[in-house]
Amino acid sequence: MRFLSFPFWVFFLIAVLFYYLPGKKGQWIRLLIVSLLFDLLSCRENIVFLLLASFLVWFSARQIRKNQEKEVRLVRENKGVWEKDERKQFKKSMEKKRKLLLSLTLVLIFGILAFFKYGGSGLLLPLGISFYTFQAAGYLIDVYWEKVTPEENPFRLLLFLSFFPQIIQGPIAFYSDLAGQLYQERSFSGEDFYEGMRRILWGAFKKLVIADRLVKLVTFASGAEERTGSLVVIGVLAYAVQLYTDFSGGIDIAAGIGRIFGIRMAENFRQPYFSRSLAEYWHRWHITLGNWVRTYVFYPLSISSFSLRSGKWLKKKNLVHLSRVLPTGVCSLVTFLIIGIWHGRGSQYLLFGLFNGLVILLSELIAPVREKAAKNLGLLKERKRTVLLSVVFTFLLVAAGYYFDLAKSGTEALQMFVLTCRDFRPGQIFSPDLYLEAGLYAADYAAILVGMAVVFVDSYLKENKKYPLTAFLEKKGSVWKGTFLFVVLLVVLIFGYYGPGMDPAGFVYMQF
Amino acid sequence: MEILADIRPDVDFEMETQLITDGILESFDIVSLVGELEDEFDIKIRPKDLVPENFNSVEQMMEMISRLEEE
Repeated sequence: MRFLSFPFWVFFLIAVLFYYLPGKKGQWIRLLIVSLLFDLLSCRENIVFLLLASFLVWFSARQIRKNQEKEVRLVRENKGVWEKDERKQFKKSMEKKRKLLLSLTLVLIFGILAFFKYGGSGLLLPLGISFYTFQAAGYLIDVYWEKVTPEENPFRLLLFLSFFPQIIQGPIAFYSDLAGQLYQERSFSGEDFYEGMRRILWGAFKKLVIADRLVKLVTFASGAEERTGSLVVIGVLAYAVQLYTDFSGGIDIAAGIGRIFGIRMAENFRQPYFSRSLAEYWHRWHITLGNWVRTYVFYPLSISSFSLRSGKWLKKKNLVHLSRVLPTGVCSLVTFLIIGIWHGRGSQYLLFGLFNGLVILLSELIAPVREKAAKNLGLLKERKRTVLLSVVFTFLLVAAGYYFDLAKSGTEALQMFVLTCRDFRPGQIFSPDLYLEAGLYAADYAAILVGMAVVFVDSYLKENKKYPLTAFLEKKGSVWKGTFLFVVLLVVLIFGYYGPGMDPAGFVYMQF
Repeated sequence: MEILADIRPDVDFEMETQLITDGILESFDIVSLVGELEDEFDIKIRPKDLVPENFNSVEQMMEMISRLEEE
């Protein structure tokens, strides 16, 4: 079931009434029923895998906790009886058991994910499996690290993994951020409803007015029979806009839906195209995935004794900068490879990870040289010109990364790079006929450009922490707020792009 | 303090209390910091200790260090 479809809104309306009307008692159970129903309607028998992952992780987490408690108890009981070595030995053996259980469970749930994602059996990917597997793994590791107390009730854990607004395309939540909110009891709030609706409409605007329209241009430019470098560039630029408006728009809709249930989900984007470096971009684009891999892959790898020892070894050789950057950079490269693989099978995704990891490693390596050069050129960090230059440069790097995303194989991505350099025809970029050939009218392009301008102004204001419209509406009160929502709704209805059968294209990120 | 000043000479560590939350210390800084602290105080910092509450200020870092020294 898609968010922007008629059945979904009927479902949503019933779900909201079902959640609030019977009162606060057992609210979380009703939220669970609604979430499971959504999953059942969307992917039928594949719901089994969600249930399986939940149960497995619930069970392991409890066992790990029991083991931790037993360790503490026995150490306390034998205080003064055990020698220091004896105690250490005991602690080590308990830790070993926990680690084994953790590893086994992780292998199992990631095994299921890998089977569906890379098995090539032509099976339909169970809805949201990439997202809930990551959440489940994060939860289990948090329990292992004693960051969170495990959930005793398996159904409560199931709600954390199945919560329906986020199952389609994230955000990937940390247990400590989301779970408490899900079980909380609350009554209907007008403010949450308004904020939620506003967010939903904003997402619908981005997706229906801009993203869904651009699909045709992207497909046309990357599927043309006679491919030129300039066509590739048009395709990549259009894709940059389409992907951002589609993905962030979808997240806006999910966040708005969550908000109407009184739940604030983690933000997934922070004006990513305003980043000044590729590393910063990965802190602002798909933030929840970035946080996940940083917490559970990058940091554990880079503070492992192997990585730290390699750093020390380099330092002894008097390579101070290298000692700081190289081992950590290699760990970040591994992390990016994992992000690449997460996106799909195919060598192009591996190259995508490699590309991002290498650029960041390289930029850290040459940082001293770069800073010196910037100083000599008089490029001060705070200067507007310098900022603009870094933003544009970073966007070009991000766009280069999209070559891998658009290509159907690693080889094709490389061919696209070659084409861009060898057969670039500037005339094509400015040829109106070419754009019309894509199957869109001039009016469509006008809608896209105006839409992009609106998104840009919004992002610029957010970037500078200015919210003039919000402040204005807050001052004017509910009549103005209602009118505002109505106007945005009209704009979306009139200028939204609807394909055949009024079924807006599925969210790009649904396939992951 | 010396360790911190060595890693990031540009930051006033005595004043800052939101080093992680505000993104002043980046991932690469945190990793070098962990390496230096482990050597200096003969402790083992584990992945589970890498939470903002342990690294947001010098005071919090000292607290974490004394806790880890006991273990």
